[in-house]
Amino acid sequence: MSGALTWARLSFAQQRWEILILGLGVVVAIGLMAWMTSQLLGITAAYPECDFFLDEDQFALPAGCDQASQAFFGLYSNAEIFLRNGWLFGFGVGLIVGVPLVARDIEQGTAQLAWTLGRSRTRWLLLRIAFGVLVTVVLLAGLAVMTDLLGAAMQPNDDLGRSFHFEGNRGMIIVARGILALGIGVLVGAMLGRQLPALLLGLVVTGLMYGAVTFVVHRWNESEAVEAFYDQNLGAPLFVGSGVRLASGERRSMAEFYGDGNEAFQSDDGQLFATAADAEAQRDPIGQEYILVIPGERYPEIMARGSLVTVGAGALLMVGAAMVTSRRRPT
Amino acid sequence: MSAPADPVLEARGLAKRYRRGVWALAGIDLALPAGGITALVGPNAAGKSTLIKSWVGFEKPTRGSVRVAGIDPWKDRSAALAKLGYVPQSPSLYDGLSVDDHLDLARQLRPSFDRDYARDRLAQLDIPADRGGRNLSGGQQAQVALALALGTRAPILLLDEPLASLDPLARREFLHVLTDAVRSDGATALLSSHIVTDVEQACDRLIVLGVGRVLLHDTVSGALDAHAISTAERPDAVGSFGAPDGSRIYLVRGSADRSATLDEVVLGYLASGRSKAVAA
Repeated sequence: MSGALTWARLSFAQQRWEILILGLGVVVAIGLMAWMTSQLLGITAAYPECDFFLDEDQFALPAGCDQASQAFFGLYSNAEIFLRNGWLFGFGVGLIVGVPLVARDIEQGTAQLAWTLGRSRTRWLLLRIAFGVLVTVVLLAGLAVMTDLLGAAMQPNDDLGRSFHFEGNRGMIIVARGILALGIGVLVGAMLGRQLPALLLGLVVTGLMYGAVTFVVHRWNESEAVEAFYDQNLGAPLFVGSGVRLASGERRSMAEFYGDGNEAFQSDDGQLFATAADAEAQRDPIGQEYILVIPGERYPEIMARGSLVTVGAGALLMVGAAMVTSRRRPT
Repeated sequence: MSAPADPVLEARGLAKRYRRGVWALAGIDLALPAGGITALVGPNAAGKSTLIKSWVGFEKPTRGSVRVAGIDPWKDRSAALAKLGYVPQSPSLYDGLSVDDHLDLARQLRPSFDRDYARDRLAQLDIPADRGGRNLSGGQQAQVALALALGTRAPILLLDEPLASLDPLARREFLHVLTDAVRSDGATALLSSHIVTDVEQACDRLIVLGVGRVLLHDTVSGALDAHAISTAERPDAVGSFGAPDGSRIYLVRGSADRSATLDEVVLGYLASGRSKAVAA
């Protein structure tokens, strides 16, 4: 145990500036989100008779609700900016912690020392990565919890544990993205051996990897999505696609259906008709638009899966970094 | 020089070409016996660092092989490194770590690292243990790097031009610590340098490297005994070079006008290496 503490102390000393700056940024972000959360919860608690999300009944809100609603949504829009951009923290922290793990040692010549004092570069790198993962998780876990709390305060009518509201912008996926970016940072840093170029290239690779992971997760979700129609009460499901089911039962994507030159008149419930008259009479529908969704109750499972895929991709990149490190020159 | 029965450092047909197509080493055959300090002397770009880094496992041979105590560092790096202590060319210490932290780090990376031994050596030199690595003088940084290598208690020490940036006093202190440690521990050290006076003081053997080849490998005393200086041109001269007074002097094997200094032996071989390179 004392060995682990000594290693953590020495690792911290090597990266203290970026950790302290990131830590400060995270604390400020958590503080701001906590303040917004408490304000939102305060308004909701003070006006239990007001339901701010029933748009059609706004005019019928009890006295005092208008003002409360204004205050609530004023805060809501600021909080949304935070929440929508919160994903940047995950990638930012991972990349800034990950890039120097190998690149700094190479750039400053200390790799020669570390790689000859230790008998295994892989062990050295694993210890470095373990510290990086620890820092990333510690910095981002609080942020992840806070985004969940803020999201819950913004959607007081929803159980966010069973809802895809703010999906991808809250919760443990932020930590998982940090681990992915850490893996990218370590690998690119090990390949280039220079911190600034590695950071810049890391940004590009992070964008590409994010796209790739999102694509894989999306395809996976798509294969498990269920068909639903617009007028169904869906709660807050995950929307993964849409299409048209023809009267014959055949499925077409929107692009295929409308790309064929089809024109259709849509009724309120999403049914499609060849003419306006048919639509009005609700007669001879040629198809119906549908959406593919994953129901909100599957949120914990889908998020856990997405997080695991993301962390898994990060772990693969770390294995790649170990392979590069074991073969490359120390300068 | 005849090959020792059990060499601790060995290179066979070692050649190294860099990506630019430059050959840093062009077929090195070397076998160093256990014990003592061997100087590896040569001009810049002679391949000294590349040779040392091949033994450390930092440079993969393009052709040939290297062995550390019989172990190929590219096949079993861990076992080879267990036999080695290494002092790099510029003793790069961690910016945010104190001297003591470096010793802790060494202990973390190599559990057999003798922290007390290394600390005692630094204490003898009055190097403050709590000072940051980068806040030490060049000489002190070199001493810390040497203490880290000595603390491994490895039987073989490879020192890649650690004296290059040190002032004469710091060089003297460094060599004193090195010779003391090698003599008391019975280790084998290979010290690359281009400062011949240092070599003469501290080293038992001498390797002169030029244009990627071994030009001379002998004991220091053997090299001095075997060579002499002629002021007249000699067809059998190993090499010739200009004297400070403008005259030309010739290094020969055997007897001549006067005995050669180690500096002259090295210069003669370096001159021969250069003329071979020009001829090639």
